Amino acid sequence: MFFEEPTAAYESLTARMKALAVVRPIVGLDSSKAKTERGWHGYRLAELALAAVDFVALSSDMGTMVRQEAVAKEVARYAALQVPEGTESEREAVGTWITERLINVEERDRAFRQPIGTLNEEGFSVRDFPFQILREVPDEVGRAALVVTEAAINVLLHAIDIDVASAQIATEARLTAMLKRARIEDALQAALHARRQSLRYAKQLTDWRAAMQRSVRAISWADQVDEEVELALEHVKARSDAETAMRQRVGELLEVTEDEGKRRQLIDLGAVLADCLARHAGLTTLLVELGPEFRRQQDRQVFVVPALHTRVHLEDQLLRPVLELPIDSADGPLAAFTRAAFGPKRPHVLYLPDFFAALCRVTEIQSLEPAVVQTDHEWDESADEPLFTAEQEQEAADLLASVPATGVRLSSLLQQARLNPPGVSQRWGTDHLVALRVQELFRNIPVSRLAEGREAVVAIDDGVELDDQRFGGSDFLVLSVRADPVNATGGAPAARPIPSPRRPGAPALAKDQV
Amino acid sequence: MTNDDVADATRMIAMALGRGRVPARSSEYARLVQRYHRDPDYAHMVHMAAKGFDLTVLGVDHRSGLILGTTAESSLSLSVTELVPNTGDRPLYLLAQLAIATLAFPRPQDLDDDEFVGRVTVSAVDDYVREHALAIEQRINAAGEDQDPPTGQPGLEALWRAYLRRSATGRTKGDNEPFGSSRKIVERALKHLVDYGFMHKVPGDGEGTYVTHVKYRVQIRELAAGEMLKELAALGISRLPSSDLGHKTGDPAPPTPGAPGPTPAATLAD
Repeated sequence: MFFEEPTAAYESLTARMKALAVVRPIVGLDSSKAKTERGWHGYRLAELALAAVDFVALSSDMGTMVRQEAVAKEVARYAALQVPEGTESEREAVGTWITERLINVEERDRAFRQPIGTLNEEGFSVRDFPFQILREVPDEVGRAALVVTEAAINVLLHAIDIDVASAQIATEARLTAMLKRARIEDALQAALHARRQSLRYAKQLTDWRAAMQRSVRAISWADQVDEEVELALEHVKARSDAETAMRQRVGELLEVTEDEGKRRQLIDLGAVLADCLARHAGLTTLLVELGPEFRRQQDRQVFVVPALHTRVHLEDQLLRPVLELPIDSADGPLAAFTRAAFGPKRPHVLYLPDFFAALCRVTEIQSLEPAVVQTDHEWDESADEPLFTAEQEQEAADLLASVPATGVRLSSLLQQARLNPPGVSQRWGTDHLVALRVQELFRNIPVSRLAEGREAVVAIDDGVELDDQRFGGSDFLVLSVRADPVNATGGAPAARPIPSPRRPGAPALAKDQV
Repeated sequence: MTNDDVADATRMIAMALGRGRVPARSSEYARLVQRYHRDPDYAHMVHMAAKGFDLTVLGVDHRSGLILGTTAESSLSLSVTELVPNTGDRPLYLLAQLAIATLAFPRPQDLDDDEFVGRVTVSAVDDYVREHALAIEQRINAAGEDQDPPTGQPGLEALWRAYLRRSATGRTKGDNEPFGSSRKIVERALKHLVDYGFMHKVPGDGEGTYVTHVKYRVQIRELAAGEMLKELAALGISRLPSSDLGHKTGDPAPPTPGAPGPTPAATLAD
């Protein structure tokens, strides 16, 4: 996840908890004792409470205020919609009760309280968060009238029935303002908030896309989506510009700020902004893809003849009947199902010219970095015990290096190798290593060495059978040769008896092992 | 139509036959899928090319690319013996394949929902089949019918009995689950689906959970379910979905022998 100061992250939790606390008294109305005691089962009290808040908020907009009675009357009007058969007095009672509950008349200071945890420099603590929903204030003639508190407006009016786009703009404005005043902690909160808005935005778009993938008819492109997408695209572009500017501002602030704590906050803020930008890039893609996706879905769903498949209830129509069939009869239907479920198998060879073309084609990934081959270092790190010790390797190399130009038989090389018996720790003696090396020489003639005119040791199979107690096969003639360099004289070094690399008859395989 | 168009069409078939090829990972494949949706002539050509292989185009999707279905004649059609060489396990294995699909898409609308992801586990599939088999057994016991197969004719034993006879887990001498236990058979069936890219295994609570790939739903919906309905209809069995009739009984009604009549399969016989 993203690096965030724990106090900053927790502050966001606290802030959201406060918002949720404001919802609680409203939601709690429907589970209150009064509702059951008074037989108000048919009324949805929480909804009536929201209606009350709405009424007060709208009525007290222009500096005017509204009296409690008016609110109760308004609530009664809504109550009549919910329970038309209820009596007038019952509705009035409901209206009054709800208004009083929203003012919280039972508390002396009229405050609702919610314990909420906070984290600050002193550590974690739980404090009571007091808040009000409807507040009584004296009006211009000194009589008590009702206003809606800030908390109630923010949570109950704004947050629940929110317009994503405008909320995002508001957040952005707040963030910029805070950055200007270098209130970094607040700005970080605002940035985190902006990020949540982005998440919601993305969710709305993906929901949309999912809906149209299910059925394009669920969405009217011309009426609804087209305009919205245009707006949203513009909006995302503007947001990206704004966030780029803010990041720049954060960079500037970082240069002038000395305070270590502030610097860290700024870095956090930069990280959040960078994340926002990345999200917007994702959102832009989503928006750009929405149109083609709609057309694709439209092609798929509308312009295509209805699919041939009928709805099949797998359990009722297939599984249950087949379970009762005798095994022999069930085989046909079940095999047909399984065969069809798996689709075509992959053929081993499609068409040979295709393979040729495929092999010759340059891959799409153009970076032709040579693959890293294991280095000596990695070999050394191998956990396997080496079969032969370094001394044995050296011994075998010395033996082969001292091979004369006249040649020497493998059998005599093996004899020489056995002069030094293997130590107790070795499974195999040096003779085994020599046999392997000679076999290697037979198979891989050092052509490049010869072509360069350098001396090289080669093994030749002249048909002599190896007579040895451990190894079988040909008794190779091992000899050191030197050829003329290919480009020196122009004469081909054809005179040399370089054998064809055919397989020797049963190469030096240990008789007693394998 | 030029030779290049033919190459494009056949290339798309080749892409579909290749394992693990998806438009998202190949710009060429993505281009071909896009062309399929935009260019009806090209789409037709792809259909014709597939027909040449005795394959049918089940769907073309930007997520899974071209999805091909086999016809009975196709040489590319998978033989069931390849999947389950042991003839003794074969009926149970095939039943497991059907049960997996049924449990992954419990409602018919799940097959239609492009966003739907089915989830199954080995034990859930096994329990599910057992539950149905036990329900049949109870009903038959209540009716007092004799369902023992005639001696020497194991092929006449009812499938549900064969499944119940097989132990779910058990232990071998080596303290392993026997290879032929019904759960092992279900596990093998799921593993094959994973191998073919129709399912993905995800870590689950206690045991692995298998989730369906988009392709699997298309194969079941567009082809497998219909093929099986046709086969059942040929045996004279047709059943309407009980949920559509508005009543859901615990015990299924006995199969309807006799003339297929107007079955749902009739509409599928395209």
